[in-house]
Amino acid sequence: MKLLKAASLLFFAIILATGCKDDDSGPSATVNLNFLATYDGNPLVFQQTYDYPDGHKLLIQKLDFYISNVALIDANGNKTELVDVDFLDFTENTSLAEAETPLTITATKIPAGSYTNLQIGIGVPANLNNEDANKLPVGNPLRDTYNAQFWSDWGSFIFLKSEGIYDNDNDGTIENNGEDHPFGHHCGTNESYVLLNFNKPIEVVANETLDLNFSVDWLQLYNHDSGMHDFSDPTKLYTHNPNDLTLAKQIMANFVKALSLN
Amino acid sequence: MKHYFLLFFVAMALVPACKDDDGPQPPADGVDLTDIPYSPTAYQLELPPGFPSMNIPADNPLTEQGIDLGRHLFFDPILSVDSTISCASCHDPKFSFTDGKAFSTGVDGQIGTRSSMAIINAAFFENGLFWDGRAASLEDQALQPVENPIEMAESWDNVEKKLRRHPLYQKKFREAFGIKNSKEITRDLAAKAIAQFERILISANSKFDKKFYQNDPDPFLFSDLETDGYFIYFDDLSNSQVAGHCAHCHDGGPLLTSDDYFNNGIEDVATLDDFPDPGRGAVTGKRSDNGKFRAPTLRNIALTAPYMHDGRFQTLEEVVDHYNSGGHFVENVNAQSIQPLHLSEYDKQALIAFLNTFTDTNFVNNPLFQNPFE
Repeated sequence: MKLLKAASLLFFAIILATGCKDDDSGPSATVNLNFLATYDGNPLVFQQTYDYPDGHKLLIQKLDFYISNVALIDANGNKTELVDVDFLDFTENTSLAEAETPLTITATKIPAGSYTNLQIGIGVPANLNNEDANKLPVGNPLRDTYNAQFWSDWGSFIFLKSEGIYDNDNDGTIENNGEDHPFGHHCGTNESYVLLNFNKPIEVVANETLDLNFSVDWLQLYNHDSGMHDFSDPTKLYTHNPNDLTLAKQIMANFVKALSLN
Repeated sequence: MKHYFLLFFVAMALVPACKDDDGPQPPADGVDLTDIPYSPTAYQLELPPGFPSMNIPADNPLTEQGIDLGRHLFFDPILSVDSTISCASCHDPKFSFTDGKAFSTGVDGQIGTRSSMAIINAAFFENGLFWDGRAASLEDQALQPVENPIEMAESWDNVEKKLRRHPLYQKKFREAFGIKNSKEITRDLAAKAIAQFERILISANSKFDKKFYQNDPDPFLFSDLETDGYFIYFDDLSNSQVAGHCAHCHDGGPLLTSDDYFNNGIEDVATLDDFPDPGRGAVTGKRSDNGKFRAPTLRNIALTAPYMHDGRFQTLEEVVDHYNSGGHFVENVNAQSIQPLHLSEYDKQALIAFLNTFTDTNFVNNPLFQNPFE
């Protein structure tokens, strides 16, 4: 009889323990963040030329940026973090098939529920940007991209790189002949960081996978409030001057137009 | 008479063995090594200021004994088919672990197709090794030259035989990895040991390090010329009239490489299909990677001439002249850097003066990195 009692107690204890475990984590889901790069709405293929609105051609060679502080927010303002920080590099998309395939970051065990807002940061938040990323463990996106993305002269990660060549002499041919304009917009430093919000209902259903499809349009990154970026102006081709980050901040701010959640 | 017969028999038994393997053979069941103490000592790795953490494989921790074995293997021509070429033949400490040649020489005087890369801080490179990035790790890299027909032209099967019968290596493999029998000496353990040795080849004591990572208090450590070169190197247009666009490929903090692959415009080709050496493209299979090569570290760059993957430039002046010219265009050229730079003679001198601050003679002369057989 004692044995039976003990067995019953053990049984209930197991039930309770399992129940507690379920209650603690709650029903959850997987969320895929899918990112496509586009040029004026079409898949962006690198090392190809595009028609810029001013009638000149452009060769686009690189686009990469960090996302961070990605979170779902519910009606009460409670945040559920999806991504701490990660790096998106579209540069290897040199064929249409590659350009049509999104870069995906997967967040697991996201509590099911109704959310009203998605927050996403572009760049590396100050608390991480000021940290010595070299001390982070292997596998951390900041540690793993440090060599290519940390700009020593700024003491900052480069949040966004956009590179290419503008057909400045408008002869229809891209060259590095001193006439055409290579450009390299490397945007970084804490004051360039942008945080965007998408106010829209998002339902996370338990045990299902939710795809959140983003696109970033290269052309919109250069759609300043004052008009399209002037690549013919030699003073607007680079953003390396640590004492003049005006253009870098402008391009970063344009993410509000360039990034869409479909 | 009996003795003569026995001698003849033994001689006949030995002849085929010598012919096959050039030396006395160990017993078929190997040599028992358990009498040799196995007590590995963890290597105390000290990372210099500013350096990243080192990604050490869990199955190949650094030990004093593993490094010592790796050092012996690195300098021992036993790895080559005719015992003439060691790793150090192409990676000589006195040339900062390269060989001072445009193309390296292998067995029988054969000439390779690329310049040997300097092995400096290679443990921190995590985006492939070799000029084309075809090796994923130092262990993987260490396996390749042995069977390269131009380099060592040997088979690993045969190297294993040679190492297994060699008393020095029986002892050192036992001490490093705790093997119990000489038969347990394998190519994988050899590669692990070489990788361990290469992981400690850390350079971090140049004038550049003193200035930017060691807080050297000397305000005159850098000359005006070197300081101007710094501004050009990092495109600091607050302090310089011109940008050198060097750091796009050669930043990475103290590593002085972005650990990535670029077409740096040295080849005048009509299309991406026309590169005489496709480099990275041959590894990835992507046409858009043709003509790209690893951006090497610029540490000790003054000691590692000639330059580029094919050693086409003899001096740093030639290298800077190439970049100043704008190089050759094709759609995957790294346009950030490959454009006319408009550097004056002074700018070029300043840039080279700054490049010379990367020289670390302590690294080159470090007694721990020298040939243990000398």
